[in-house]
Amino acid sequence: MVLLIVPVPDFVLLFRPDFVALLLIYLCWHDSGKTGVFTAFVVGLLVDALTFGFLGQHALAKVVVAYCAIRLNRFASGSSTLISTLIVLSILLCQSTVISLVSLYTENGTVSLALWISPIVGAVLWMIIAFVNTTVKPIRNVPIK
Amino acid sequence: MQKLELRSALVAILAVAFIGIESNSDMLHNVREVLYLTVKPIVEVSQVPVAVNKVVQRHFVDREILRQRISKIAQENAELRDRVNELEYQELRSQWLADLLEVREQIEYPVLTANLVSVQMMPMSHKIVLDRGAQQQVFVGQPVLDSRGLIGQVTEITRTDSAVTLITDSSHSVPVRLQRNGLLAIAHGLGLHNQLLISGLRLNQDVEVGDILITSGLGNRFPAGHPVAEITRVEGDPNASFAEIIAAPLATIDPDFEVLMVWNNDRESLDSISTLTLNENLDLQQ
Repeated sequence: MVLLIVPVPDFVLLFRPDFVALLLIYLCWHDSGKTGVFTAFVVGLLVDALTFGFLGQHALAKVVVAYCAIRLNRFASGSSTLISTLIVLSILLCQSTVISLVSLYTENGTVSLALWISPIVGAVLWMIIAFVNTTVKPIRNVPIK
Repeated sequence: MQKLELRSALVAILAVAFIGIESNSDMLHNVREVLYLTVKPIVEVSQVPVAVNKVVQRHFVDREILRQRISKIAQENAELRDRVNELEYQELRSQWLADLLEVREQIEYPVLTANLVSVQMMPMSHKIVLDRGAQQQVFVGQPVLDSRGLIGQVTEITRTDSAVTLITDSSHSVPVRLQRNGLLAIAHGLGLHNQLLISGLRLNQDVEVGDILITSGLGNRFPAGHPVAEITRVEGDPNASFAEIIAAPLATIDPDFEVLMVWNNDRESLDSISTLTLNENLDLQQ
Protein backbone atom coordinates (compact mmCIF):
# COMPACT_ATOMS: atom_id res chain seq x y z
CA MET A 1 0.00 0.00 0.00
CA VAL A 2 2.92 2.29 0.74
CA LEU A 3 4.23 1.60 -2.76
CA LEU A 4 0.81 2.53 -4.15
CA ILE A 5 0.90 6.05 -2.81
CA VAL A 6 4.57 6.87 -2.42
CA PRO A 7 5.19 10.04 -4.48
CA VAL A 8 7.08 9.37 -7.71
CA PRO A 9 7.79 11.39 -10.85
CA ASP A 10 4.94 11.53 -13.38
CA PHE A 11 6.57 9.19 -15.89
CA VAL A 12 7.05 6.55 -13.19
CA LEU A 13 3.47 7.03 -12.07
CA LEU A 14 2.31 5.83 -15.47
CA PHE A 15 4.19 2.55 -15.09
CA ARG A 16 3.51 1.90 -11.43
CA PRO A 17 2.06 -1.60 -11.04
CA ASP A 18 -0.73 -2.39 -8.61
CA PHE A 19 1.39 -3.96 -5.87
CA VAL A 20 -1.67 -4.66 -3.71
CA ALA A 21 -3.32 -6.73 -6.44
CA LEU A 22 -0.07 -8.60 -7.08
CA LEU A 23 0.29 -9.39 -3.39
CA LEU A 24 -3.34 -10.44 -3.23
CA ILE A 25 -2.87 -12.89 -6.12
CA TYR A 26 0.28 -14.25 -4.49
CA LEU A 27 -1.47 -14.75 -1.14
CA CYS A 28 -4.49 -16.35 -2.79
CA TRP A 29 -2.19 -18.87 -4.47
CA HIS A 30 0.23 -19.55 -1.64
CA ASP A 31 -1.67 -18.85 1.58
CA SER A 32 -3.75 -22.04 1.42
CA GLY A 33 -7.22 -20.48 1.66
CA LYS A 34 -6.50 -17.92 4.40
CA THR A 35 -6.73 -15.04 1.98
CA GLY A 36 -10.04 -14.82 0.22
CA VAL A 37 -12.61 -12.43 -1.14
CA PHE A 38 -13.39 -10.92 2.28
CA THR A 39 -9.76 -10.04 2.81
CA ALA A 40 -9.69 -8.62 -0.71
CA PHE A 41 -12.82 -6.57 0.01
CA VAL A 42 -11.33 -5.07 3.20
CA VAL A 43 -8.01 -4.40 1.50
CA GLY A 44 -9.86 -2.80 -1.41
CA LEU A 45 -11.77 -0.53 0.97
CA LEU A 46 -8.48 0.49 2.60
CA VAL A 47 -7.01 1.25 -0.83
CA ASP A 48 -10.09 3.36 -1.59
CA ALA A 49 -9.58 5.27 1.63
CA LEU A 50 -5.89 5.61 0.94
CA THR A 51 -6.34 6.89 -2.60
CA PHE A 52 -9.42 8.97 -1.78
CA GLY A 53 -11.32 7.11 -4.50
CA PHE A 54 -14.89 5.96 -4.50
CA LEU A 55 -15.50 3.65 -1.56
CA GLY A 56 -16.15 0.28 -3.08
CA GLN A 57 -14.38 0.82 -6.35
CA HIS A 58 -11.11 -0.91 -5.42
CA ALA A 59 -13.04 -3.16 -3.05
CA LEU A 60 -15.02 -4.53 -5.97
CA ALA A 61 -11.90 -4.73 -8.13
CA LYS A 62 -9.97 -6.58 -5.45
CA VAL A 63 -12.88 -8.99 -4.90
CA VAL A 64 -12.76 -9.75 -8.63
CA VAL A 65 -8.98 -10.22 -8.38
CA ALA A 66 -9.27 -12.57 -5.42
CA TYR A 67 -12.10 -14.55 -7.00
CA CYS A 68 -10.21 -14.92 -10.29
CA ALA A 69 -6.98 -15.81 -8.49
CA ILE A 70 -8.66 -18.53 -6.42
CA ARG A 71 -10.53 -19.78 -9.47
CA LEU A 72 -7.41 -19.94 -11.62
CA ASN A 73 -5.19 -21.32 -8.90
CA ARG A 74 -5.23 -24.87 -10.23
CA PHE A 75 -4.12 -23.65 -13.68
CA ALA A 76 -1.38 -21.53 -12.25
CA SER A 77 0.04 -23.96 -9.71
CA GLY A 78 2.76 -26.08 -11.23
CA SER A 79 2.62 -24.24 -14.54
CA SER A 80 5.53 -22.43 -16.13
CA THR A 81 6.46 -18.86 -15.33
CA LEU A 82 5.07 -17.71 -18.63
CA ILE A 83 1.67 -19.31 -18.04
CA SER A 84 1.41 -17.92 -14.52
CA THR A 85 2.43 -14.51 -15.83
CA LEU A 86 -0.30 -14.63 -18.47
CA ILE A 87 -2.84 -15.59 -15.83
CA VAL A 88 -1.67 -12.70 -13.63
CA LEU A 89 -1.91 -10.35 -16.63
CA SER A 90 -5.48 -11.45 -17.33
CA ILE A 91 -6.46 -11.03 -13.67
CA LEU A 92 -4.93 -7.56 -13.58
CA LEU A 93 -6.70 -6.64 -16.82
CA CYS A 94 -9.97 -7.80 -15.26
CA GLN A 95 -9.27 -5.55 -12.33
CA SER A 96 -8.55 -2.62 -14.66
CA THR A 97 -11.80 -3.31 -16.49
CA VAL A 98 -13.76 -3.24 -13.25
CA ILE A 99 -12.07 -0.03 -12.13
CA SER A 100 -12.70 1.51 -15.57
CA LEU A 101 -16.35 0.55 -15.51
CA VAL A 102 -16.82 2.01 -12.05
CA SER A 103 -14.93 5.11 -13.15
CA LEU A 104 -17.16 5.44 -16.17
CA TYR A 105 -20.15 5.21 -13.92
CA THR A 106 -18.93 7.58 -11.24
CA GLU A 107 -16.32 9.98 -12.71
CA ASN A 108 -17.90 11.27 -15.92
CA GLY A 109 -16.22 8.67 -18.04
CA THR A 110 -12.56 9.48 -17.43
CA VAL A 111 -10.21 6.49 -17.58
CA SER A 112 -6.49 6.90 -17.10
CA LEU A 113 -4.01 5.36 -19.55
CA ALA A 114 -2.00 4.19 -16.54
CA LEU A 115 -4.87 1.82 -15.74
CA TRP A 116 -3.99 -0.24 -18.83
CA ILE A 117 -0.23 0.08 -18.65
CA SER A 118 -0.17 -0.93 -15.00
CA PRO A 119 -1.34 -4.57 -15.63
CA ILE A 120 1.41 -5.08 -18.23
CA VAL A 121 4.08 -3.71 -15.90
CA GLY A 122 2.61 -5.79 -13.07
CA ALA A 123 2.78 -8.93 -15.21
CA VAL A 124 6.39 -8.19 -16.19
CA LEU A 125 7.24 -7.65 -12.55
CA TRP A 126 5.53 -10.93 -11.66
CA MET A 127 7.51 -12.73 -14.33
CA ILE A 128 10.83 -11.29 -13.07
CA ILE A 129 10.03 -12.24 -9.47
CA ALA A 130 8.85 -15.72 -10.49
CA PHE A 131 11.99 -16.20 -12.59
CA VAL A 132 14.28 -15.07 -9.76
CA ASN A 133 12.34 -17.25 -7.33
CA THR A 134 12.69 -20.39 -9.45
CA THR A 135 16.37 -19.66 -10.14
CA VAL A 136 17.40 -18.84 -6.59
CA LYS A 137 15.46 -21.59 -4.82
CA PRO A 138 17.54 -24.55 -6.10
CA ILE A 139 20.77 -22.74 -5.16
CA ARG A 140 19.43 -22.07 -1.68
CA ASN A 141 18.55 -25.71 -1.22
CA VAL A 142 22.04 -26.94 -2.02
CA PRO A 143 23.21 -28.80 1.11
CA ILE A 144 26.32 -27.41 2.81
CA LYS A 145 29.12 -29.93 2.94
CA MET B 1 -16.70 -23.82 -4.78
CA GLN B 2 -20.26 -22.65 -4.45
CA LYS B 3 -19.25 -21.17 -1.17
CA LEU B 4 -16.64 -19.06 -2.96
CA GLU B 5 -19.17 -17.85 -5.49
CA LEU B 6 -21.61 -17.01 -2.75
CA ARG B 7 -19.03 -15.16 -0.69
CA SER B 8 -17.75 -13.39 -3.79
CA ALA B 9 -21.25 -12.39 -4.84
CA LEU B 10 -21.98 -11.15 -1.34
CA VAL B 11 -18.91 -8.96 -1.06
CA ALA B 12 -19.30 -7.83 -4.67
CA ILE B 13 -22.86 -6.71 -3.92
CA LEU B 14 -21.57 -5.02 -0.81
CA ALA B 15 -18.91 -3.25 -2.85
CA VAL B 16 -21.44 -2.17 -5.48
CA ALA B 17 -23.68 -0.94 -2.67
CA PHE B 18 -20.78 1.08 -1.34
CA ILE B 19 -20.23 2.58 -4.79
CA GLY B 20 -23.90 3.35 -5.17
CA ILE B 21 -24.19 5.00 -1.77
CA GLU B 22 -20.91 6.88 -2.21
CA SER B 23 -21.93 8.28 -5.59
CA ASN B 24 -25.36 9.44 -4.40
CA SER B 25 -24.90 10.53 -0.81
CA ASP B 26 -22.45 11.34 1.95
CA MET B 27 -23.58 8.53 4.21
CA LEU B 28 -20.24 6.72 4.11
CA HIS B 29 -18.31 9.72 5.33
CA ASN B 30 -17.78 8.23 8.78
CA VAL B 31 -16.81 4.87 7.32
CA ARG B 32 -14.25 6.61 5.12
CA GLU B 33 -12.87 8.51 8.13
CA VAL B 34 -12.43 5.30 10.11
CA LEU B 35 -10.80 3.63 7.15
CA TYR B 36 -8.53 6.60 6.60
CA LEU B 37 -7.46 6.59 10.25
CA THR B 38 -6.57 2.94 9.79
CA VAL B 39 -4.38 3.62 6.78
CA LYS B 40 -2.94 6.92 8.04
CA PRO B 41 0.26 5.26 9.28
CA ILE B 42 0.74 3.97 5.74
CA VAL B 43 0.35 7.52 4.42
CA GLU B 44 2.94 8.72 6.90
CA VAL B 45 5.37 5.96 6.00
CA SER B 46 4.89 6.74 2.32
CA GLN B 47 6.04 10.30 2.96
CA VAL B 48 9.38 9.19 4.42
CA PRO B 49 11.10 8.97 1.03
CA VAL B 50 9.81 12.45 0.24
CA ALA B 51 11.24 13.79 3.49
CA VAL B 52 14.54 12.03 2.88
CA ASN B 53 14.62 13.36 -0.67
CA LYS B 54 13.91 16.85 0.63
CA VAL B 55 16.76 16.66 3.14
CA VAL B 56 19.17 15.31 0.54
CA GLN B 57 18.11 17.89 -2.03
CA ARG B 58 18.33 20.69 0.48
CA HIS B 59 21.79 19.56 1.48
CA PHE B 60 23.13 19.37 -2.06
CA VAL B 61 21.14 22.22 -3.56
CA ASP B 62 21.98 24.46 -0.62
CA ARG B 63 25.65 23.68 -1.04
CA GLU B 64 25.43 24.54 -4.72
CA ILE B 65 23.55 27.75 -3.96
CA LEU B 66 26.07 28.61 -1.28
CA ARG B 67 28.91 27.98 -3.70
CA GLN B 68 27.26 30.28 -6.22
CA ARG B 69 26.69 32.92 -3.57
CA ILE B 70 30.30 32.74 -2.40
CA SER B 71 31.45 33.08 -5.98
CA LYS B 72 29.17 36.08 -6.50
CA ILE B 73 30.25 37.69 -3.23
CA ALA B 74 33.92 37.14 -4.09
CA GLN B 75 33.35 38.84 -7.43
CA GLU B 76 31.52 41.73 -5.78
CA ASN B 77 34.26 41.94 -3.19
CA ALA B 78 36.90 42.20 -5.91
CA GLU B 79 34.89 44.91 -7.66
CA LEU B 80 34.38 46.81 -4.41
CA ARG B 81 38.06 46.47 -3.56
CA ASP B 82 38.87 47.97 -6.96
CA ARG B 83 36.48 50.81 -6.28
CA VAL B 84 37.93 51.37 -2.81
CA ASN B 85 41.43 51.42 -4.29
CA GLU B 86 40.27 53.88 -6.92
CA LEU B 87 38.60 56.04 -4.27
CA GLU B 88 41.70 55.93 -2.09
CA TYR B 89 43.78 56.93 -5.08
CA GLN B 90 41.40 59.76 -5.91
CA GLU B 91 41.42 60.87 -2.28
CA LEU B 92 45.21 60.86 -2.28
CA ARG B 93 45.21 62.73 -5.54
CA SER B 94 42.72 65.33 -4.38
CA GLN B 95 44.74 65.77 -1.19
CA TRP B 96 47.83 66.21 -3.31
CA LEU B 97 46.10 68.80 -5.47
CA ALA B 98 44.76 70.58 -2.40
CA ASP B 99 48.28 70.75 -1.01
CA LEU B 100 49.57 72.04 -4.33
CA LEU B 101 46.85 74.68 -4.33
CA GLU B 102 47.87 75.72 -0.86
CA VAL B 103 51.47 76.05 -1.98
CA ARG B 104 50.39 78.03 -5.01
CA GLU B 105 48.63 80.45 -2.73
CA GLN B 106 51.68 80.76 -0.51
CA ILE B 107 54.11 81.44 -3.35
CA GLU B 108 54.15 85.02 -4.51
CA TYR B 109 55.26 84.11 -8.05
CA PRO B 110 53.30 82.75 -10.95
CA VAL B 111 53.14 78.98 -11.01
CA LEU B 112 52.03 76.32 -13.46
CA THR B 113 51.17 72.70 -12.82
CA ALA B 114 52.99 70.12 -14.89
CA ASN B 115 52.70 66.39 -15.33
CA LEU B 116 55.58 63.98 -15.34
CA VAL B 117 56.30 62.54 -18.76
CA SER B 118 59.14 60.30 -17.66
CA VAL B 119 61.59 59.71 -14.85
CA GLN B 120 65.21 59.15 -15.82
CA MET B 121 67.17 57.87 -12.88
CA MET B 122 70.79 57.06 -13.76
CA PRO B 123 73.36 56.13 -11.09
CA MET B 124 74.53 59.72 -10.62
CA SER B 125 72.12 61.64 -12.78
CA HIS B 126 68.56 62.18 -11.57
CA LYS B 127 66.24 63.85 -14.05
CA ILE B 128 62.57 63.98 -14.80
CA VAL B 129 60.77 65.20 -17.90
CA LEU B 130 57.72 67.43 -17.59
CA ASP B 131 55.03 68.16 -20.18
CA ARG B 132 55.73 71.89 -20.18
CA GLY B 133 58.26 73.47 -22.51
CA ALA B 134 59.12 76.60 -24.42
CA GLN B 135 55.49 76.94 -25.50
CA GLN B 136 54.59 77.61 -21.88
CA GLN B 137 57.52 80.03 -21.34
CA VAL B 138 59.44 77.55 -19.29
CA PHE B 139 63.01 78.77 -18.76
CA VAL B 140 66.31 77.17 -17.83
CA GLY B 141 66.87 77.33 -14.11
CA GLN B 142 63.18 77.44 -13.34
CA PRO B 143 62.44 75.88 -9.93
CA VAL B 144 60.15 72.88 -9.74
CA LEU B 145 58.52 71.83 -6.51
CA ASP B 146 55.60 69.97 -5.01
CA SER B 147 53.58 70.53 -1.86
CA ARG B 148 56.20 68.80 0.28
CA GLY B 149 59.39 70.29 -0.97
CA LEU B 150 61.75 71.40 -3.69
CA ILE B 151 62.19 68.94 -6.55
CA GLY B 152 64.85 70.56 -8.70
CA GLN B 153 65.30 72.99 -11.56
CA VAL B 154 64.77 73.00 -15.28
CA THR B 155 67.99 72.37 -17.18
CA GLU B 156 66.81 71.62 -20.70
CA ILE B 157 63.83 72.78 -22.71
CA THR B 158 62.16 71.59 -25.85
CA ARG B 159 59.12 73.13 -27.45
CA THR B 160 56.70 70.93 -25.55
CA ASP B 161 58.70 69.35 -22.71
CA SER B 162 61.38 70.23 -20.25
CA ALA B 163 64.00 68.24 -18.35
CA VAL B 164 64.37 68.91 -14.65
CA THR B 165 67.53 68.05 -12.77
CA LEU B 166 66.57 66.86 -9.31
CA ILE B 167 68.19 68.16 -6.15
CA THR B 168 69.52 64.62 -5.57
CA ASP B 169 71.49 64.76 -8.84
CA SER B 170 75.23 64.65 -8.11
CA SER B 171 75.82 67.89 -10.01
CA HIS B 172 73.13 69.84 -8.20
CA SER B 173 73.42 72.19 -5.24
CA VAL B 174 70.83 74.31 -3.46
CA PRO B 175 71.48 77.16 -1.03
CA VAL B 176 69.48 76.37 2.11
CA ARG B 177 69.01 77.43 5.66
CA LEU B 178 67.81 75.72 8.81
CA GLN B 179 64.17 76.53 9.41
CA ARG B 180 64.67 76.42 13.18
CA ASN B 181 67.56 78.88 13.54
CA GLY B 182 68.28 80.29 10.09
CA LEU B 183 71.78 78.88 9.74
CA LEU B 184 72.89 78.96 6.11
CA ALA B 185 74.22 75.90 4.26
CA ILE B 186 74.34 74.26 0.87
CA ALA B 187 72.56 70.99 -0.01
CA HIS B 188 74.49 68.92 -2.54
CA GLY B 189 73.08 66.00 -4.48
CA LEU B 190 74.91 62.72 -4.02
CA GLY B 191 73.35 60.74 -6.81
CA LEU B 192 71.29 58.85 -4.26
CA HIS B 193 67.54 59.27 -4.37
CA ASN B 194 67.14 59.70 -0.62
CA GLN B 195 70.25 61.56 0.47
CA LEU B 196 71.63 65.08 0.28
CA LEU B 197 74.97 66.20 1.67
CA ILE B 198 74.72 69.41 3.69
CA SER B 199 77.88 71.50 3.74
CA GLY B 200 78.83 74.77 5.36
CA LEU B 201 77.77 73.93 8.90
CA ARG B 202 80.23 73.50 11.75
CA LEU B 203 79.95 70.82 14.40
CA ASN B 204 79.64 73.34 17.16
CA GLN B 205 76.69 74.96 15.43
CA ASP B 206 73.17 74.16 16.51
CA VAL B 207 72.19 71.37 14.13
CA GLU B 208 70.03 68.43 15.09
CA VAL B 209 68.61 65.41 13.43
CA GLY B 210 65.04 66.24 12.34
CA ASP B 211 65.79 69.86 11.49
CA ILE B 212 64.07 71.03 8.36
CA LEU B 213 66.11 72.74 5.66
CA ILE B 214 64.35 75.34 3.53
CA THR B 215 65.48 77.28 0.49
CA SER B 216 67.37 80.39 1.50
CA GLY B 217 66.56 82.31 -1.69
CA LEU B 218 70.19 83.29 -2.14
CA GLY B 219 71.10 83.70 -5.78
CA ASN B 220 67.46 84.24 -6.63
CA ARG B 221 67.37 80.83 -8.26
CA PHE B 222 64.82 79.26 -5.91
CA PRO B 223 61.98 80.96 -4.07
CA ALA B 224 62.94 81.43 -0.42
CA GLY B 225 61.30 79.51 2.41
CA HIS B 226 60.30 76.38 0.59
CA PRO B 227 61.09 73.04 2.33
CA VAL B 228 63.95 71.07 0.84
CA ALA B 229 65.04 68.26 3.16
CA GLU B 230 65.07 66.93 6.69
CA ILE B 231 68.37 66.26 8.46
CA THR B 232 68.77 62.57 9.16
CA ARG B 233 72.39 62.30 10.32
CA VAL B 234 74.89 64.63 11.92
CA GLU B 235 78.42 63.22 12.28
CA GLY B 236 82.00 64.37 12.22
CA ASP B 237 85.34 64.35 13.87
CA PRO B 238 85.30 66.74 16.88
CA ASN B 239 88.67 68.09 15.69
CA ALA B 240 87.37 68.81 12.18
CA SER B 241 85.85 72.16 11.40
CA PHE B 242 82.79 71.05 9.49
CA ALA B 243 80.24 68.42 10.34
CA GLU B 244 79.14 65.69 7.96
CA ILE B 245 75.42 66.19 7.69
CA ILE B 246 73.08 64.06 5.65
CA ALA B 247 69.51 65.04 4.88
CA ALA B 248 66.61 63.33 3.16
CA PRO B 249 64.73 65.24 0.43
CA LEU B 250 61.13 66.01 1.32
CA ALA B 251 59.70 66.04 -2.19
CA THR B 252 58.54 62.78 -3.68
CA ILE B 253 58.51 61.88 -7.33
CA ASP B 254 55.31 60.18 -8.36
CA PRO B 255 54.45 59.80 -12.05
CA ASP B 256 50.73 60.13 -11.26
CA PHE B 257 50.92 63.43 -9.43
CA GLU B 258 51.45 66.94 -10.72
CA VAL B 259 54.29 69.26 -9.77
CA LEU B 260 54.53 73.03 -9.72
CA MET B 261 56.79 75.13 -11.92
CA VAL B 262 57.51 78.53 -10.46
CA TRP B 263 58.06 81.73 -12.39
CA ASN B 264 60.21 83.39 -9.78
CA ASN B 265 61.98 86.71 -10.21
CA ASP B 266 64.84 85.30 -12.20
CA ARG B 267 64.40 87.87 -14.98
CA GLU B 268 67.54 86.84 -16.83
CA SER B 269 66.19 83.39 -17.46
CA LEU B 270 62.85 84.78 -18.37
CA ASP B 271 64.46 87.20 -20.79
CA SER B 272 66.45 84.39 -22.37
CA ILE B 273 63.31 83.07 -23.92
CA SER B 274 61.96 86.48 -24.73
CA THR B 275 61.33 85.44 -28.29
CA LEU B 276 58.27 83.70 -26.99
CA THR B 277 55.47 85.84 -25.81
CA LEU B 278 53.42 84.99 -22.83
CA ASN B 279 50.21 83.42 -23.86
CA GLU B 280 47.26 84.76 -22.00
CA ASN B 281 45.60 81.40 -22.09
CA LEU B 282 48.38 79.77 -20.13
CA ASP B 283 47.48 78.30 -16.84
CA LEU B 284 49.57 80.84 -15.01
CA GLN B 285 48.45 82.08 -11.71
CA GLN B 286 49.20 85.71 -11.21
